[in-house]
Amino acid sequence: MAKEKVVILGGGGGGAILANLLPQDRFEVTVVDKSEYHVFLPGFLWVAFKGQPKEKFRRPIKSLLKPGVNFVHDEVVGVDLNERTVHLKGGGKLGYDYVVFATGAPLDFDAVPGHRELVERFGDFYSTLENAEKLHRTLASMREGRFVIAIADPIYKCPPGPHKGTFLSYELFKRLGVADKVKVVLAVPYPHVYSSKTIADVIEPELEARGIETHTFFTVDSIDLEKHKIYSLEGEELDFTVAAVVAPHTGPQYKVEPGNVKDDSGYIKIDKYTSQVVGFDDAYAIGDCTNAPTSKSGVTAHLQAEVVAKRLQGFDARYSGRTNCPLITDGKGLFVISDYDHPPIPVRLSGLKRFLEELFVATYWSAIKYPELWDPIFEAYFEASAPEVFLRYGGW
Amino acid sequence: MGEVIKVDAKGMACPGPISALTRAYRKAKNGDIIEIEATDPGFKPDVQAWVKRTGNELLELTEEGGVIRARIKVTAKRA
Amino acid sequence: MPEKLEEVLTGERLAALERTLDLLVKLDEMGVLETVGDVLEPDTLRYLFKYLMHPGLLKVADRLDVILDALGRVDYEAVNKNIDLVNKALKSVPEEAEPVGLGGLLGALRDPDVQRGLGFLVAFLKALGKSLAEEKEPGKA
Repeated sequence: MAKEKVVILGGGGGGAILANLLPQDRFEVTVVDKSEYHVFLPGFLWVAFKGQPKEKFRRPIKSLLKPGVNFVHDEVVGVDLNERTVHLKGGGKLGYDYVVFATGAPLDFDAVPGHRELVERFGDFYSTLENAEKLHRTLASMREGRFVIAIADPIYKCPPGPHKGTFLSYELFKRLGVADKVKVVLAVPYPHVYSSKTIADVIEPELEARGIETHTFFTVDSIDLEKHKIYSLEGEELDFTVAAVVAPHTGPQYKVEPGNVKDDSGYIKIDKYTSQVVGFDDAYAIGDCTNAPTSKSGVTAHLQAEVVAKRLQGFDARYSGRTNCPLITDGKGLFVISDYDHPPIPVRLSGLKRFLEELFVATYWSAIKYPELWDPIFEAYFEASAPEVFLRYGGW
Repeated sequence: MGEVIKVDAKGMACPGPISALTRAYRKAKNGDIIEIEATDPGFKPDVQAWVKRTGNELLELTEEGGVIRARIKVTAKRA
Repeated sequence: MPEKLEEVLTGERLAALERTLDLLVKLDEMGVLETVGDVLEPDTLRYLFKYLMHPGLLKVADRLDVILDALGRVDYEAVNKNIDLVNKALKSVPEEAEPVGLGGLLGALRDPDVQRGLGFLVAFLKALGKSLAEEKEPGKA
């Protein structure tokens, strides 16, 4: 029997794991990415706030894929689902039996006036390793003033990311001996300091204990770098000395035919359980590029990759909407655990969870390269810590 | 006369409805009316707090058969 | 990339390699290598982790600091002395104990076993009350 051709668009977390999970005696797998490098996005925090070298969080995609998986270094400019063709910038075309969208959610720095200039001046911890490195230099040279972390759109990847940045920057300023002179400020678009009230109640006292200033209902509308002010959609303003703003995200920028598989915001419309692109049984989408009503996170991409790998092999697998977003403070950590049927469950901050997060980061590359080793571990973990299970135990 | 912007946030869990409202508000102009429907019970206090903070006008807030419906007149957008 | 073996095998690497090889020989002679190879099967791992990742264990592991702190302060000699007593009593409690009213209670008090148990409980309650008082006002009792 001829092998079925699977073309995976994007060699990030979701795409690379899926490529490594597909048995090669049945599938001919090709990964396409415009970058030769796979970047571990949560590493931005480690670079920006701990000053770790950026090389630690970047590896050539080719080196992460199992031998036998093809890698095409080119940019996708169009996908024609009716013709089963992927068009590349270099002029090439790829035909497929199955196509999987895994290209993530690019950031739009032109949506908020003044944002581009802000990032050029200070760097940030959401876009690139270079910008994370720049933010670290900026913060390390701060001796006084206000470091403001704010968000430009309520839907962004890694929901606890800004909160992690808040705690880690406080830790950095403490190490630099300027914690009493540099005020850390966190502004969020939500009614509470975290999108889920359950989690907000856990971290609010922690923020307060560290003297961190917080603002709710603050969605960044524009930035004035000369006046050092951020204006919110809700009509308020914040002064900053240095600021990092999470940019609005967008769906895939390349053309997809038919156009109606993208929603109003440009995300690929999928069945939230099977990851199948609506209206097509030979197209799937995983990770940040979809409209699935769950957090945009690495765990989502990973779990959806496993679902798609199983479905392509003829098994009936479904994604529960499970999230496991880590939120770390300067000493402890927690996971935001939820799924389609359960809002985030009560989870306390603890030393174990802080350690687990450190372990996840340390073993990231191994988890991408050797899913057969890690999947039994993850599977057991996700089963034991499922929201409906932990709710019987009063949370974690 | 402004436009009427309809937002269906039924079935969305917290903070989905308030996020949907924020997104609609970004596109709105003064004089527009945002009509939003949600089923998340947290939406009622949230939308009241939102209106108070932003200084827009809450024309109507009803709850019927588990559906919370808010009509907001946009008046406070920065020119 | 170094191409020659001499470039790869620097002095310190060679020393580390020799020690590793000695260790491998030892592990092989003891059958460890072969056994580890046999055990490393996806299903073995799957069931091992399925067993280990118990929600209760995750919860206990998360509170290990609190639990160890509490366990460290337990008077194990006292526990050891009374554990058989407690075990026996727990085991002999009927699955569904009958409800007892005031009249029944007076009747039960004539049973010498109940009297002994009550004596134990009264002594325990006295000690408990005393330590409660001490906790409230240290040095008083």
